Amino acid sequence: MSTRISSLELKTPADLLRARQMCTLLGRELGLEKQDQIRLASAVSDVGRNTLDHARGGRVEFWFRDERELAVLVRDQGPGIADPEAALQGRSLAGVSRLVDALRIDSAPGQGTRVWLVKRLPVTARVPDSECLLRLQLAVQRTLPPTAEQELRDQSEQLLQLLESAAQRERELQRLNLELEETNRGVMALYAELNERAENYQNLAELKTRFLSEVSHELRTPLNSILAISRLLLDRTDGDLSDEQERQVEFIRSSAVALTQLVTDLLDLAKTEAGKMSLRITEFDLEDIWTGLRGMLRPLLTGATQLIFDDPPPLRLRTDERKLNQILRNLLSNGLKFTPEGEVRLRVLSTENDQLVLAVSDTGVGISPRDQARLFEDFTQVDSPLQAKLHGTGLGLSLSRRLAQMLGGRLWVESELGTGSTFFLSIPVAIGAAPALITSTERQSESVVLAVEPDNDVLLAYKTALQPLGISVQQARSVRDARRALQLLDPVAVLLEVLLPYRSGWSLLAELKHHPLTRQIPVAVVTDVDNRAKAEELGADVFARKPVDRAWLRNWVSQLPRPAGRPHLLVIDDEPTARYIVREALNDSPYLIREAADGAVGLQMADAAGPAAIVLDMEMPQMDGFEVLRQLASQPHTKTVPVIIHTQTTLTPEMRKRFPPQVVDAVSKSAAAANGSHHALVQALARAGLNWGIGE
Amino acid sequence: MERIPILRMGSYLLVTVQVDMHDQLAQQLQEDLAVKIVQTGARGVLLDISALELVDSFIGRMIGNIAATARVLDVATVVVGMRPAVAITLVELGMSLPGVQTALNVELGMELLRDRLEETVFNDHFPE
Repeated sequence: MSTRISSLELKTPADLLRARQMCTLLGRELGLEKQDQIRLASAVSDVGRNTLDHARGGRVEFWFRDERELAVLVRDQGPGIADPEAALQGRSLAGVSRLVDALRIDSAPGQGTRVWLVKRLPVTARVPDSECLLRLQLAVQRTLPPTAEQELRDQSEQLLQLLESAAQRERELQRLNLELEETNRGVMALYAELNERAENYQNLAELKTRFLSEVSHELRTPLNSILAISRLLLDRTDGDLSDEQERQVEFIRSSAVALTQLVTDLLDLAKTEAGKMSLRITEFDLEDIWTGLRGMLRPLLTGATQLIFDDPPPLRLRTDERKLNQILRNLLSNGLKFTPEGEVRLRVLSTENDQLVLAVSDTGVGISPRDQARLFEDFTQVDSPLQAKLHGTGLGLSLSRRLAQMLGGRLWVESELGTGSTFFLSIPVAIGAAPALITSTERQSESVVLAVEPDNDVLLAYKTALQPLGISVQQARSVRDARRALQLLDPVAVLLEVLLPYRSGWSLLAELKHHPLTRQIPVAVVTDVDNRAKAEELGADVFARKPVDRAWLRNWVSQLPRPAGRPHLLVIDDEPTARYIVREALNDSPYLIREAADGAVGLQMADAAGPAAIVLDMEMPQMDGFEVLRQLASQPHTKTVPVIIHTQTTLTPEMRKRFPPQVVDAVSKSAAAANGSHHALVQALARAGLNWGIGE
Repeated sequence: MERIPILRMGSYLLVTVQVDMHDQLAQQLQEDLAVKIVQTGARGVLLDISALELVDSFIGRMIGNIAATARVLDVATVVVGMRPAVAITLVELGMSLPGVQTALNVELGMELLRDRLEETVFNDHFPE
């Protein structure tokens, strides 16, 4: 066992002194006699001085060797000695060799010199164990504190190292920066390309719409002629027809009718896409629809399939009758088409919460999950042996869904291959009237214009201008306020002053027009800043300099469509602060946020308005979270809404097991409070499929 | 820069090495002492090394040099208080400090110096 007890650098005469002191100290601690301590120290001193003189310094190491020896190694990287043996005989080393028990020199020219000085410990001395040696090492460190010079040297060396590493880091940063710049250029190029493509698609979509509407118009004229003339022929206006001729003309006529239907569908589709189709809202009884459909569909019936109309509950509707009719006719005729044998049934599932939910179910071939996903796309036709035989445009369902959306409702399907399909249609019972449930909360649902405008006088001008239209004005004084207001309101339009405290209105404009969910909100930039070009570049719908002309403003606002309903989040929580926290967390989201202070109201709102996601508290006084979840899951159109649990309680695995599949995540309230971050909540919402916009 | 103090006592200089002497300090002492001898016209130097635990060949040589320098300046030097271990080590190193007067302690060293001085005076008065 050889242990190095200590070592020190030998650079100055002061180091030599330390080496000498170390010799004495170690000699004493290891039981060397006083005389021998001095002998060894003297020897080390002499050899060390040589090292200083000839090699400009080196190291001194102190070893304990198991032959009970204290050995001192003095080594250097100097020029070395040509003949170590001769050096040993020399006058100075000869004296040194008399002081120690063994002296050995390893050296060669150019390879430095290693001198071992060995002193045997007396037999009376106890042999130190490793613990003792460790203590010795510590003692050495304590008793020989570094000299000021040594310390200074160490510090400057450390400083140099630090400087070097800092320089290296800087070089690294520069390199990274370059790389980032490079990447950035790439991204910019990509963006440009994407923009270009988006524009192309936009153009293409417009072209398609125009093409559809023009073609339909062009087709309808000759088709109408065919229909009219075949009717003339069948009416025998120009003389009699033979039986054969009559049958042929009947064929011509029925083909023309089918073609007309297709053209009408196409035209409707083009109209909805161009946003030109308008609603003609009337009041009527649900019963009327039933009667109409019965009459219309009777001719389609074949012997093998039954068409069943379950009697509807008495219900007065206020919506577009023709469009509702069209949707149901489409669904029913589709059902009949794909049900060679069995039944097709129309029934009312629910009329609760001012929402009419209808189901058209058949016992036909069914639709595979893959097909379900693209069922509502234009010109989609499901591959099936039946389809090959049947004619269709593939437009019916896509048109139906769009019509349903126009009526403020939704259309969705559940189906299993081989057992049949059920199409669900959910529409508000009354369009235009404020749904009672939403007003029962803190929200305003009347038409409102958001004025991002710090000046109260201007605001007053807006208010007086828009009052006659029955439109109220909500003020926001900063971008931050505006964002908050946009969470709560679905405004008819935004009037934006660009000069705002903290942050300019341009950023808000860019933000609004950037995100697909807020893009359709009309924005009027009304400002003192004369920069029409920038406003238009960022997507402002109109630009006006102050003072604004009231008549103009009234005109502009009055021709705007009423908002169709932006996707919203529903927060069900009895604590106002918790609701506030969620609102804060979603500060920069484009979603509307609706709040319910208890489970029952929350359920009604979820049922009525179809939120994009629900943030749900677990512990509420009247109805707890589990009950809300249970009821959500029991309704066909709320059981797919993603739910995020936002709770104070620690969720046990058992509790988690009770969650229905629509629960996508659970976020602890206390965790968010502890680290002050809403990150978890935001992430959970992203997981729930909420699109944060490209900026995130 | 630390220095070893040189004290004047009448016509003698007293040097007491109280610290572990390193090479530069020894060299410095040699120079300081020569200057001081000339400045004061001292007649004898008493070098007390009783605090030195170790005298290696270099310091041994320095002591020799100090004594030689003093002698050239016609000043007697007495090294006093050498520890036995130091003495043994010096001998083993092959250094017997030729030309250096030694005494066991300061008192004996003073006596020695005084004797030498009287002797010189006597010799001055009664030349052979």
